[in-house]
Amino acid sequence: MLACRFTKRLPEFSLDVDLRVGRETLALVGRSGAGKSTTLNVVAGLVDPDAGSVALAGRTLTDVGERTLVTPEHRRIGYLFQNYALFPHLSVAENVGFGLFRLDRDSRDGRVRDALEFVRLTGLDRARPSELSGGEQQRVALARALVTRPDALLLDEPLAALDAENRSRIRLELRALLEKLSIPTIVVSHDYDDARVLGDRIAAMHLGRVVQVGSAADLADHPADGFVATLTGANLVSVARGETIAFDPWSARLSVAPVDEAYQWRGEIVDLRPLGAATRVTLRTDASDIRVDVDAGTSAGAGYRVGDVVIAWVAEHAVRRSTTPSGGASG
Amino acid sequence: MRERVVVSSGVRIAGVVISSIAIAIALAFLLLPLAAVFFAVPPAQALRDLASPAAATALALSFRTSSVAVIVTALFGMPLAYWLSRGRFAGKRVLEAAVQMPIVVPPAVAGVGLLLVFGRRGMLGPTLAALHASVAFSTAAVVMAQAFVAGPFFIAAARQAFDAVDPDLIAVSRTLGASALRTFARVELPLAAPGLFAGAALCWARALGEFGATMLFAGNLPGVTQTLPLAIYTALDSGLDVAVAMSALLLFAAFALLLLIRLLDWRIVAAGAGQRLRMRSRAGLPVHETAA
Repeated sequence: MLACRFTKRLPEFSLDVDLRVGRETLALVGRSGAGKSTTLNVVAGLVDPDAGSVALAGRTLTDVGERTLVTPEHRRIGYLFQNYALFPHLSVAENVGFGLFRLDRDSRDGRVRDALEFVRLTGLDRARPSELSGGEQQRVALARALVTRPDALLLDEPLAALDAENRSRIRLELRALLEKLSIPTIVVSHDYDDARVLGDRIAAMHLGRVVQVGSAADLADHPADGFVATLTGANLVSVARGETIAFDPWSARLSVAPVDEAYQWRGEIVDLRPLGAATRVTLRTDASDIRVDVDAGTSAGAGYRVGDVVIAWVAEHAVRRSTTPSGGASG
Repeated sequence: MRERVVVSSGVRIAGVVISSIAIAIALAFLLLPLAAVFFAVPPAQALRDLASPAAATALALSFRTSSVAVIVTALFGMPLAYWLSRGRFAGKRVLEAAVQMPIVVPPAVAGVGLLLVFGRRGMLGPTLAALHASVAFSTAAVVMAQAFVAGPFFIAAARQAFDAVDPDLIAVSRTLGASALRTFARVELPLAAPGLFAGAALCWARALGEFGATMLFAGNLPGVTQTLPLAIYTALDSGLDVAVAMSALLLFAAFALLLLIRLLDWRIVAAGAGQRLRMRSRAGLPVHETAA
């Protein structure tokens, strides 16, 4: 069990984190600059928090009140950096074996071989990091982080440096690998889709605060606020008497004239984005921005232009009522 | 369609001619005096001149003092450069500027400053006298003058070399169980090494050519403080030939060192850029930078 609860003042806002991770993968998702990487750095001991504590497997790593601060090299936490941070002056095998300097040569070589096998990189041990593809570099970094048998694993945007073509494949491979590991793992991502695939649970982070923790379904069906709704792609609109509803863009419809439905909003089209077979229309209404997927094949889908004033509506049965009261505005 | 700016061929030719003349004059001015030194005396005679006792002594002294100056500079300059690179403290910019001062200060001023501190009647004069360690006008003074004037070149290069080490590499080394000291030895030092060597070569070249501060602080005693540049100055009185031969030797040494720096520079750049380029081409896309 990895448990951390701390605060840290950042230039723009204050980071306030309270997370518990068992033998599972927690995906920490949020926009750039939300404090996700700083959270990992505090857990790894690279950044000192202002207050609070970090504990792993019953061992206190950080406790500001008790003046306990275990140095990074004594934490037994593996850390995969966003750009993989492979040592350019060392070969693949030397990179992976870097943390095994206390072992004798034979057992070190054995462990390196096993680790490279684990990430399916056998035969590349003499290569330089610069000769590898992005996916291979990621696996070397992962092997290097795991070969020391850490008690927990931190991954900072593990997929961000990969191109779109390989990304979904490597994402599934990484998912399978994390399941095999079964140690407390935190994956940071700005991409909700990555978080959904990699994480057993998802923690949505906004401006230094974890606004919601739950399964992907929890977050999609009952978004705690507009930020989570935007993250999962759902619309979150506050309706009368402080009641908030959530619905998916593909459940909503557009109409030029008012319709006979309970939930409808008039607004101006501010954006049209092709999305496979559909076009995602963003409508600026008094309540909030509402995203509606319009079938691109229909004449109606082709006809809309930015600046048109239309009506978005959603059928009663497609609406989920949010249990948590919130501000509602999404953006 | 964008309108094309039409330049008449006459104007274009005139531009090419004028800039060619300017470049030719600049190159001639910079290189001709150096080339003249090499061609003034026939090589056979130059070698004979260098074998003369005065020249040989000066050459040996120059080599000895500049080598010691570089080693001392590296020993004391590296921790300072590292601190300037990693440290965060008030007044850092002021300190950085102050450390670079010897580069722009006239060497004569450097000599006066050294005398005021280490001279017989200087700040530390009585202390040194009590320790029977008078520095001024000794070989040690030559090394000090050289280290003072040339040191900042090494410190600046070393600082840049440490700056260029990716902080993520240091962080990841720590998370892999390496202490700060081990991280320095296994990650920071090897990665900064080409820059450190380039800085040492530059420092050596500057120390080899040191004249003004040495003249003032160490004097011009053959065999004790008379380095090659001072010997050249002295030899000019008796005849041009020996001075020219020694000048040619100094030029050759300096050029070899500069060439070495270029080579190291090229290696640093090639190592860094090559990696990025290959990563990009393998990925098929520009590597995107996403800050979380």
